[in-house]
Amino acid sequence: MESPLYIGLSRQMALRRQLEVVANNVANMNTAGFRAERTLFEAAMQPGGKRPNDQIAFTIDRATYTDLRPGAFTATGNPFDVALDGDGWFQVRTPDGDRYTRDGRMRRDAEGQLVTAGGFPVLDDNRQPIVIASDSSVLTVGTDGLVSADDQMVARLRVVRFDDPQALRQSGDVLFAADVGVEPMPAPDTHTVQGKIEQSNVQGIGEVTRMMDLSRDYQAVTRMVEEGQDLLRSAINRLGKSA
Amino acid sequence: MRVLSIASTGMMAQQLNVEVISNNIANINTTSYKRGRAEFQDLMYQSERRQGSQSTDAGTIVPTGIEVGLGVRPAAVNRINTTGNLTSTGNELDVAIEGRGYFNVRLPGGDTAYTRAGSFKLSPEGTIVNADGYPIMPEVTVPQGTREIAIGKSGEVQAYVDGQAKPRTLGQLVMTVFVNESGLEALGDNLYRATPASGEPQDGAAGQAGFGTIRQKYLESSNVNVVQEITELISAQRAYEMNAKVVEAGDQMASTLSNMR
Repeated sequence: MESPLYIGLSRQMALRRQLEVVANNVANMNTAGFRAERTLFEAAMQPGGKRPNDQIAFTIDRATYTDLRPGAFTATGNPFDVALDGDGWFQVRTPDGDRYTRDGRMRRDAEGQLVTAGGFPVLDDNRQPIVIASDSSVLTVGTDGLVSADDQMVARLRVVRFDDPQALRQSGDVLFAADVGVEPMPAPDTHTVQGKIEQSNVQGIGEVTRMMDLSRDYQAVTRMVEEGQDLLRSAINRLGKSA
Repeated sequence: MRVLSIASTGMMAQQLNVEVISNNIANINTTSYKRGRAEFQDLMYQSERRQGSQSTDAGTIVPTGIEVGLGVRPAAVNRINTTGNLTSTGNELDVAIEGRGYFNVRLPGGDTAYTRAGSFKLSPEGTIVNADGYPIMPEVTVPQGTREIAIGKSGEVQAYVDGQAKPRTLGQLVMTVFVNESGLEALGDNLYRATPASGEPQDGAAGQAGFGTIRQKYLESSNVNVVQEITELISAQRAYEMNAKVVEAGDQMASTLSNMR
């Protein structure tokens, strides 16, 4: 008899977590290279009811996955902004190991290394940081990732792809981590575009409608729980009356 | 309610974005101003169910887990160091740098500051000073009776003095470059100061490898592009509104719950 309450609760918890995921997407609407997250729900069946085969279904949020659609390119004219056209990723070195990112807002640090906005070195073909000589003035990045300073070839940006990019995990700072055993492969079909940044792929309208949708769902589930409680209350009142 | 705090990080980020854009627009006519760009990064993720963990005794694993991000944070306000347009002014003490490099200016306290704003003037003693009266380094003094000052592409300053056919060389404008220009600290008044992040200042002359060249009678305008700033302003404003909408939705859900009988 308490089932409606618990079924409702399972849905309410899932909806609340979905709203948190939507909130994170909207908060990162202007974060270059950000990838939106989506939630997956599934029913957990449990025996219940009068007949042996009757089942009741609870909602569980089984997973979040990453929406890997590319974001829009914006021209900035800054030679240190590099966007990726294709399904590739830049490889960067962090103290916790190598990470992958689509965020190509690079700069030079005090040692002349090419680093990301978070200050992590961007790696070249040989998985080494790229150092740009201090006396060079013009930086060019070719469509094949070739970095040149004053027409002198420096290095080639390491651009990799994954057979299953869903195996990547968001780790903050617009970086993605690969679990052990998930090996990156070269991505020759991905081109680098200098002077552009890839915006976040969050679509505002989609997120806002999703949000309205789930806040209505929340109300409906709450109503359902209330009605279940009313039913219970009236049952107690009627059946509990002394004859 | 995590929703409210996540959405509030988004609102705060967009507020910073609008502040940076408004400073860019305010400095649209500031000599050699470099536009700032607020850069954002996502905050850490809370893992509710980790991918790769075992889902059954048979050894199957969870292919994708549940991760809830905690919002956004500003990572940097990056100065975009592209050269602004050079505008002809006809004034012989206006100099622009075409390419990389900064002029050296001595602050009243004796420290050195760096600037690209080459709208120089003369002090009562004849030394070349910037718009605030700080002398450029090394000091260059223009003698009395000078008809014309010529500043060459590599920065040598010459004066044509009355009664002399040949120009007299007064000195050389020193230029400084930094490995990481975005790491310079902005002091206001078009001045910058070296920091550990910018790297050691490297002095040289204009026209050397890695240094820009000097253009006399030109000024570098700001590199702010109005169209770009306005479109970014619109996008920041919309993002702010949507974050506010998320706060509203979170609030609505909480109130639905508290009104539950």
